[in-house]
Amino acid sequence: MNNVYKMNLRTLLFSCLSLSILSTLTAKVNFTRDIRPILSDKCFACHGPDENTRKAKLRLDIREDAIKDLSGSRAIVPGEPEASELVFRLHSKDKDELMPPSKTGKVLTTEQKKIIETWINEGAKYEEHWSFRPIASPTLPVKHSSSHHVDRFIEDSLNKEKLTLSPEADRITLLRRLYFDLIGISPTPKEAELFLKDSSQKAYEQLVDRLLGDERFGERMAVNWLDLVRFADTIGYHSDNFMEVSAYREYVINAFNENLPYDRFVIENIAGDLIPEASNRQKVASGYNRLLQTTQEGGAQPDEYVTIYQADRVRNFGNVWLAATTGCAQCHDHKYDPFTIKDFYSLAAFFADIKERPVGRRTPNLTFPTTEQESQLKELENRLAQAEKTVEERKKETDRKKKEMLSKLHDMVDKVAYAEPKSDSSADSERIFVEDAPPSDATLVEEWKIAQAPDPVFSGKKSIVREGVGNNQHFFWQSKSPYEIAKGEDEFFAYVFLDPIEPPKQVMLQFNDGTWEHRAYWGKSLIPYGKENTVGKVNMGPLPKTGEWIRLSVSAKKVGLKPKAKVNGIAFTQFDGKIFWDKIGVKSTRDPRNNPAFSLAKWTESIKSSKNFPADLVKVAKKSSKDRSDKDIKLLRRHFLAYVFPMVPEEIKKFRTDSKKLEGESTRSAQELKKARDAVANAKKGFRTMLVSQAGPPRMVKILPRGNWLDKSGEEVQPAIPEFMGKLETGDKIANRMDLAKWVVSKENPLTARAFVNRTWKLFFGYGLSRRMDDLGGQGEPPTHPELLDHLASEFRDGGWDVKSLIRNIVTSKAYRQDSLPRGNLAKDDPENRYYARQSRFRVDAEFVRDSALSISGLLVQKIGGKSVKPYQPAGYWQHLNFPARKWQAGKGDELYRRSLYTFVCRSFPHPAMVAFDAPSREECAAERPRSNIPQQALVLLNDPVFVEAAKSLAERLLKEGEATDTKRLEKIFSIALTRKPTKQEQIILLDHLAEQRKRYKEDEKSAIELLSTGAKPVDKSLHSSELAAWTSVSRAMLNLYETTGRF
Amino acid sequence: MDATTFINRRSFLNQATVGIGATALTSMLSANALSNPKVWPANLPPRAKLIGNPKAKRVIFLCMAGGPSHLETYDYKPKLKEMDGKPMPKSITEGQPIAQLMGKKNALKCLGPQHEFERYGKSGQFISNQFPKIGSIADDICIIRSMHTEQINHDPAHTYMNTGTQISGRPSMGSWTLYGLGADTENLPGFVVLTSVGGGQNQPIASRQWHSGFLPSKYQGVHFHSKGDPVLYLSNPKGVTAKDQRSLIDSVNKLNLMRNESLRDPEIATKVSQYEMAFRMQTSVPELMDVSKEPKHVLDLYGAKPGDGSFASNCILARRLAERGVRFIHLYHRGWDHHGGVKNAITGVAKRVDQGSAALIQDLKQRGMLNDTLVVWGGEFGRTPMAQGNGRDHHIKGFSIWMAGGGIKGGISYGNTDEFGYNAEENVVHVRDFHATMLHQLGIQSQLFTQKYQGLDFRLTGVDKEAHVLKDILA
Repeated sequence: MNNVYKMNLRTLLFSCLSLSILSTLTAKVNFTRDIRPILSDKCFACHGPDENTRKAKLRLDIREDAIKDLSGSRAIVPGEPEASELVFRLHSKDKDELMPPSKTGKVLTTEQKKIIETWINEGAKYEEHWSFRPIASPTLPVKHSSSHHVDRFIEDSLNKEKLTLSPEADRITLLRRLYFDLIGISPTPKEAELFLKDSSQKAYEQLVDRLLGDERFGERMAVNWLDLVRFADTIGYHSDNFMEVSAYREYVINAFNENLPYDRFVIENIAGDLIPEASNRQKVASGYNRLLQTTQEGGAQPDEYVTIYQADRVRNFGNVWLAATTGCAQCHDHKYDPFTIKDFYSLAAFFADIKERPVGRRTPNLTFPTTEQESQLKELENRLAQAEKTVEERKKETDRKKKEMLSKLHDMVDKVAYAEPKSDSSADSERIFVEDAPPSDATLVEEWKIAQAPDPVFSGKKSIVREGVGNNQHFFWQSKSPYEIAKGEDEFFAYVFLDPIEPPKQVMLQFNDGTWEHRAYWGKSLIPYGKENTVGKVNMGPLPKTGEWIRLSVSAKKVGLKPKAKVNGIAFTQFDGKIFWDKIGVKSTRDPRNNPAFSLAKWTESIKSSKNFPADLVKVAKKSSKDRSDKDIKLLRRHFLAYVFPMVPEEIKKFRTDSKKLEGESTRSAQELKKARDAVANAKKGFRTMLVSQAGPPRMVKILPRGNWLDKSGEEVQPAIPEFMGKLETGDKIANRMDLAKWVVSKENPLTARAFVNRTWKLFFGYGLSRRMDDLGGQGEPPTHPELLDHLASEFRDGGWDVKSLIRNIVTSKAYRQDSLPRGNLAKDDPENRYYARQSRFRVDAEFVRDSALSISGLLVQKIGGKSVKPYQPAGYWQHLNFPARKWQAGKGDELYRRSLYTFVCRSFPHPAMVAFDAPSREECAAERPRSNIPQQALVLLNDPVFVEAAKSLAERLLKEGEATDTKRLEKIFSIALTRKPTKQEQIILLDHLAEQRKRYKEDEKSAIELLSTGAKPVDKSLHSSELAAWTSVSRAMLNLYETTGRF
Repeated sequence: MDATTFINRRSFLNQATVGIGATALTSMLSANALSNPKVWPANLPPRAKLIGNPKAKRVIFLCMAGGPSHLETYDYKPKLKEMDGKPMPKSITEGQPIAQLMGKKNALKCLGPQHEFERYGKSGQFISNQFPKIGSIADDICIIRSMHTEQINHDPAHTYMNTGTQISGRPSMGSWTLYGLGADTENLPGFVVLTSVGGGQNQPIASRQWHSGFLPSKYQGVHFHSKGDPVLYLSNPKGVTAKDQRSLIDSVNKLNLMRNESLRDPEIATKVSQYEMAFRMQTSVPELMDVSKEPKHVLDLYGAKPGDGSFASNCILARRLAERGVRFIHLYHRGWDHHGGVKNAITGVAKRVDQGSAALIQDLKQRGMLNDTLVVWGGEFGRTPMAQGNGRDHHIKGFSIWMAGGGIKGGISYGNTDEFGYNAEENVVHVRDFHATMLHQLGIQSQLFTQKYQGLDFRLTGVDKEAHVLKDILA
């Protein structure tokens, strides 16, 4: 084709075109709304920001370049469409000239072509992309029917389209809409009544405030937030193991409930750990940076995963906070937005300080108490301090007493005449373990209950009493001064008094010399210890007489205790009945001359290597007898007579009992202290743990050409924000995450407030003001109401980032309160509801479907926060997980009935009931959930045990809460599930169903019982199974209705 | 039936006709339209065009999970045998990503093929003698010996093979296919996943492999289990019979339609039809899963025991699903991750998959279904020619798969690796080329088959690189 011909053709073409344009288009073309989306979608891939893929050196995203003369032709000649190469190319019949090229599959409609021509005709004015412009504070449009700011913008645009707002929805619809939107659960009849009976002007506003103040508000808001930050309980890749991040969920819930300003929320998420003196809560918030998918797979290359993680973080950072698709610049400059590959890696550099193992287990790096645990700990620490104080005081007192006693002791002892024993027959000696008190130097197990007169006492003032059913016992062991068996004839004894009314069936003594295999018993053989006819279980004959003190005794030989064996404990065991025990000891047959209890010389010998005596005493004992001074001898003699030698005057014996008591006191003190300290330590063991951000020396970050981690040739970059958005002023300091976080919420950042407001709007209208929730950039959609978006965003940002106030503002508007029914031609004229001439209608999110069923049934356990829980899940659903293989263990009790946002999220296999209702898998940022309507949802509502159990509980509620007639009960069930009365026809359908099911279950009671066995909660046995089963069926119908979880 | 209920029922029926209204009717019509693969469904971008005369109506993908060694299956390397035990030339491995052998980079040694190869069929294709049954269908299959992928660890590699990218959250090929073509069944899901029981050391697989990503959930693969409920939540609650369930669904549908007279919400009409589909699934799925009614000669052909959940049984199920109009059937057989003892391991896994794989082809063929069913056999990557003890490590630069039926030439091989079996050298086939070819056989031009997400036109074959249809293997 020669040039002359080409020119002629152009002129010809345009004289025709211009006419048609002028006749069809009246409204002025708006670049942002009408032109940029076309250029971006159809042209920028080859003629946009990415230099590497730019064709013919032509760039259409910048006006200067677009109108530049490129070797003789100009793509755009402002005011002259017929001279613009661009227009020519759009219409060319030549395959090689046509734009966009046919192989891209991109085609412009006739209207799109026309509008581009008109735009060029009008001067081809460019505007900066709408979302990158500073947020404006548009003037309020004139007032129409409402003075509410939101309405003024909405009505202004409706007016231009010759549309009006719909009338206000009826009060029940409004009420249910608000409950679903603000707390994610339908109202109970009681909650409904509060509003429906209140006819005052303020009733609606008060309801809004009530719900914004309800703790369930935070739970509702958290659900969508957790989708954005891809919160899950497992690491995601390969073996998909557990990681502990549940505290982050709580943080989010609390942040919404406490109306934490969004700017602080942002800073705490991105850089909470870098806040000076960061609180645990702020550190937990910084767990945001750890929520990404990670791997433990053997053979995974750390370097590769470092790059995978940094890309994940940059993607999520852009998506969550800016609604920008920064991820596109991982391999090349962004094709549609001005993000460069350098921007991508400069953003990645902000996160290069986060300490983590690229491949391996995610071990929590923060331990902290919950509020509840914190107050518990405080209490326990107070108790410990109190115990320390008491013990200290007690010690002072005992020290004083000890001192006093000791001061008298020497006089008493020095008066005793002592001589070494002369013969071996002088006396059998006794060692008493128990008299009036348990041994003070041994560990006591089970209760040692002290009895005194008028109860039977054998000697001293007290005895020990035990009463029990079956096999029961008390014992001491680990004595610090064990008894060493001298001969087999050594005789252990214990005095017993068997209660004549409740005698035991068996009495047993057990001795420990390292093992307990030394037992003697009287009476029947019921106590299961030991093997009959061995020393481990020696039958001593029948039970002794009841009602009097009897000495039970057994020789060491008989129970297999050999000489030199050291007995450190005795157990007192009985089967049934009641026994008083007293004076327990051993009669030694040792030659007194060789017995350390009788011979000072032998005793001195025996303590040489003992650790249980004062050091000065042992030192003296170690000397050879000729080296001991008089003073030394006196020291040994005094101790021996004061504490060891049995044949001393009463006053010394009394001293011994008293000092034992004092020892008992200090043992008690030690035990009390230990208990208090253990309690504190145990409380700390139960603390929450969490994966949080911890900063370390930053990794070096390089640009990876084509995103290839093996290519180390790229330039090294420092942390920086995208170049086209400005520069962080940090002086000489390298910018860090805190600087990034502050920039996100700074006035200079036009995206943050717009992104948040846009997503918030969606929660209450079903669509965003800009409809692409994940992209405010060039490939997103320009807002339907740009001024309204800016108005809300600027108020939000300048008004202290007040989330609740933003929501209150939206839901109090007339636009929010209008009916959702498509009146007249609305369904046809505005099928996507872009002008908001009505409210939107949709099925509530997955979590709220289940939550509402639980609430309707009365099963819901309302409790904020805590670790993730495991409600019912089909068996075998996790069978394809490995390393290690694992099974879902359903929780118990309350855990089965918590709100669904607490359900454990396994990224490989998220809960199937949630998946059926479009809950995302939390692998990537999900700014929007699809709303599908699929058969799996029917299967879940019909057959998932939790919905069957909910129906059962609802039926139980109906039958138990009075309302005796079927009709009354139907009214009740409607008011619980749907907040309204049934119509006549609805009643007939359900009564039919009820009658049929009633008959069927009456004839087959067994099936009724089976149906009622679904779920962990047992049914009230007093209710008739067939009746309850029939009503369960009716309740199932209610839970399956679209209206039950439809938001209108 | 008394007079009141009669009138009631009748008036209900009248209302129902009005109540369902135009929307439901349209959706039913479009469901029929979907069943004809020559008509593009409405949900596709208007510019997308179906290539005339598609060859394949459905796909059965036999996924050999874990990374089958091409060197013991389809890639005969006599040179590697000579080099057994000798150092691997550094010129080949330098700068290459490897997985568990990373630490041993300086002492990489060749491991010769652990099994003998034989020529099978008239075409004389080289196949390992451990797979004689697959050998017997050598003339029906096209072996591609020059596959190349980009991910070296199991999980991302599966994700790559299934979605065309390593990043999670993108639709799998089954979802794309269903999205493009719909299903030919109203009783079963259009994309079904089966996993076989048994197979030794099992690498985990995740439901993300059959997820619909940013496509609507209805395009998600539905995992049929061989034990318990074949489809999650399929069985009625205890004490509820099919009749009870029917009666309940009737009541629910009546109430929904009645309410919809005033609410006028198309979602309600859709919900009613979904309850019908759910109910149909409750009978059609158990019927489908019951393989015991298959004649003995068929069971013998596959070597399957009804209800054992084996790969062979799943191959029969795959055929049954294909017969019933399911669009994409994805079978997973795990147990191919042979880091050690590759010789015996191959023998073991061959016993589990050889007969079933071959039987499926024969069975489809004898039923005249192989013509329009594309069968694919392959894993997420191959294995190194270098030894890891007496096994092999993950390998992405060259591996083998085969395709059969659905307009693919049988009895041919395509592409080659180098003499070590390391790099795909001749006619290199990237995963996206494989995807493009698969879609092409289904009548879809991959380049034009897009869905907008995060501002980009996403394709199964990737956003920004060209994918090539393997013209040479088309019949």
